[in-house]
Amino acid sequence: MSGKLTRRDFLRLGALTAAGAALAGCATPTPQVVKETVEVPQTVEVPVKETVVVQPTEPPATVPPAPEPANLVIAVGTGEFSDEALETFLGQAKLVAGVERVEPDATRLRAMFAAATPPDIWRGSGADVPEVVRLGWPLDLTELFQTSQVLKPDDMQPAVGYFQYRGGWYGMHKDFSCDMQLQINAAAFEEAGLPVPEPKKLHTYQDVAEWARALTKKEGERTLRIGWADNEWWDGILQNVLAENEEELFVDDFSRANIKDNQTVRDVLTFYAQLAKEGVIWNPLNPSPSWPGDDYVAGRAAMIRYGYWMHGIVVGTAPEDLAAPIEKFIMLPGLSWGGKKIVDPPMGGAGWFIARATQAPLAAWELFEYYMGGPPAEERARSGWGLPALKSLMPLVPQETEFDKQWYEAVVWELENTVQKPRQLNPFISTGNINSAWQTNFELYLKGEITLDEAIDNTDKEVNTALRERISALG
Amino acid sequence: MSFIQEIRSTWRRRGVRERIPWRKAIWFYLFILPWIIGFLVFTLGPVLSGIVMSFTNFDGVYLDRARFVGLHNYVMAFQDKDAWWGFKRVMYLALVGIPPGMILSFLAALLLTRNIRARGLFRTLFYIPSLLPVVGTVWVWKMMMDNNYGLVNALLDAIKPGTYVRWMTEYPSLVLVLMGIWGATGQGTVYYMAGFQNVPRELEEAALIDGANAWARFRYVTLPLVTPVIFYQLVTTAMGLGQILVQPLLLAGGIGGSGSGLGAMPPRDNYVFMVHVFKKVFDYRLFGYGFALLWLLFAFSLVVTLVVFGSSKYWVYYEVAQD
Repeated sequence: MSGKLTRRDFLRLGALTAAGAALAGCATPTPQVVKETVEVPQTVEVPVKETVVVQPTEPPATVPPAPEPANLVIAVGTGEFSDEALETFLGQAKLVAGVERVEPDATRLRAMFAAATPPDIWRGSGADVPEVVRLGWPLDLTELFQTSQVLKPDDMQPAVGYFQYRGGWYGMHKDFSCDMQLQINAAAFEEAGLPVPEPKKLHTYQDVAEWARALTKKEGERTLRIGWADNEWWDGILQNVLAENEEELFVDDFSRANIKDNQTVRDVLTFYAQLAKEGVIWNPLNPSPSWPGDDYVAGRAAMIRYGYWMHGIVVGTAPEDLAAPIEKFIMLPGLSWGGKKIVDPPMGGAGWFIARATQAPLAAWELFEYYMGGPPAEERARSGWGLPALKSLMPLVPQETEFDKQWYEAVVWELENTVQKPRQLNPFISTGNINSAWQTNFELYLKGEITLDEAIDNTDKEVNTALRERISALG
Repeated sequence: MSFIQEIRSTWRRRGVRERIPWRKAIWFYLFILPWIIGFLVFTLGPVLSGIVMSFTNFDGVYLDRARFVGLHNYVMAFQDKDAWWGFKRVMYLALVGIPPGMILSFLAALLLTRNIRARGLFRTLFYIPSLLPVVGTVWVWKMMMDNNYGLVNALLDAIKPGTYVRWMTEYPSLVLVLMGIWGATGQGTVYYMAGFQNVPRELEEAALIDGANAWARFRYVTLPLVTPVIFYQLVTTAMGLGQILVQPLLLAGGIGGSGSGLGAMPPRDNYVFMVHVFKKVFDYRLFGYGFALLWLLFAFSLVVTLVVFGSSKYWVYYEVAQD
């Protein structure tokens, strides 16, 4: 089974795209999305790899027959691509005769690939790219992106760089978020006598620590409100801080993590250990009763750090269940360690891949384009649950209420003023490795069973042992 | 001994083999064929392939890329301090959790087989926790035992202001054990009730006529006759406990990205063996190693079961003589 997109397939697609464009020109004009040119600041780096683009400059001597419509199998849940949207697509699809849906379950997906019967399209994370490419699962879509009339490379948000790996372009976010943006409850700030922080200004980790101390509310030993319920994506936190000084967590060949020997890493972990000792962040000895997003809307946490999808959670919470009027829930930028710049790419972000083993790459691409750039993408942008991966769809992000406007302006500021370069992802171990290792040693430290230095050294040892084991296992 | 048993016993003594006519046998095998096929394909096949995988570096996806690594995975398992820790925690949970759980089920069954008022209601109430999905059960227990916002601490605080117990972080194993007992008592109670109801009434009456008091009737008639149920409960509970996984993961504090759902890292006290296997397989993607750990767990469970079976002749009473 060949997973390669042949030149003939590619030319067919070009012809079809041209025909589609011509037909679209004859159709009734539809309301256009207002396309704004978003200035990409100097700090933003889009790691688009150089790719040789095959331009179909000359039409083939004879028009190739259009491929037969194909049936596709997609591993995408109805929550993200409804049956109604799928029906609408099928009503207008040229290359897709039908779509069978399977649940996007990781185990099932592995089994399908192992049995050489993978779905044509599957839903995965940008953080999965190094691993799935190593496994040889996704189709390289570089040429399709370079010639698409819908999904244009220069319209892509920098976050899509997660899907570009070692010279290939393997997919695209369905939506994304700058996951380390800070959200605050202004009512808690007012109650604590703190001025509400400026939303379009750089704030440091040290600022947030001071706020957390003032915002934490206790009654005896009970924590009534935690000052800061951070996300505890330890690997991402460390990587963002290191990236402020152009440093990386892993060495170039990913065979080693720099934890104990990197002073910045030690400083960051010491910073969190101190806040945990003070009891102003959730920690292994005083964990959240639920999860930080829930704590935030319920008033159990004054500050959290998640991305724009918290917009959907706040809006989706009944007003009587919100701890304060909705306007008091304010979005701030991500944080800076050194006080000079903010690094805040998504931690991964969900998107779609097309399987290299697909028998119908053009049909799969037709659906891919529709989902990523057509009406479903516009609907997602309007939903307020994530930011569109296409810059041109940004104006559709909700801006109706004061709350919407504040969050919209905050994300626009974030995209324009912070470093969005995707973080380094290790193809050998999952992000859960570092989190698990640190979380275990953090607990032992807080219980007084080991020192902080030992906790950091143990974390380094465990992560690097895992890397060695994994690399050795892969041969 | 029944008539048929007597006949069979005589045949065995005389060396006569029971022969079933071929035509009858073929129907028997045809009827059980679907089960046999299912067993071979969905049970024995995976089990055997699991043995093979445990000697490879299988990555969970491609068999053709798996490489034979000999005993490496097994050697690594014995050197893995987290695996040992997880094993010790299971032992601890077994020692702390199994005896009270079994005693509680036993006492509940004893009570519910008597003619008490609203017996049906109590039977239902005792059994309901066994019907609840584990996610719901864990969620309820988290809400009850949470350090800061939990119902239990709120009640303690109301009784004695200022009382604050870190249930979820200082006593996570106790919460796990209590939750397990709460969830499993109903099922155990049903088994014991069946055992009690199977005790022949004439034996109790005979003992009564012989002048045995209530304790003596229980000690020398009822208890021996329900020992097979106790034995069954002991073996299945011990095996179930060795495989506990979801509860400690879901009970883990919901600390953001690293601490919610099945991606959670439980408190060290609840880092049981299967959690370690789960982490090695899905976080570290060492499927071959994970299989090796599971086979070691199986070997240990087998030894424990054999020991319990071996001991059963000293304390389990069977009405039918064990040949």
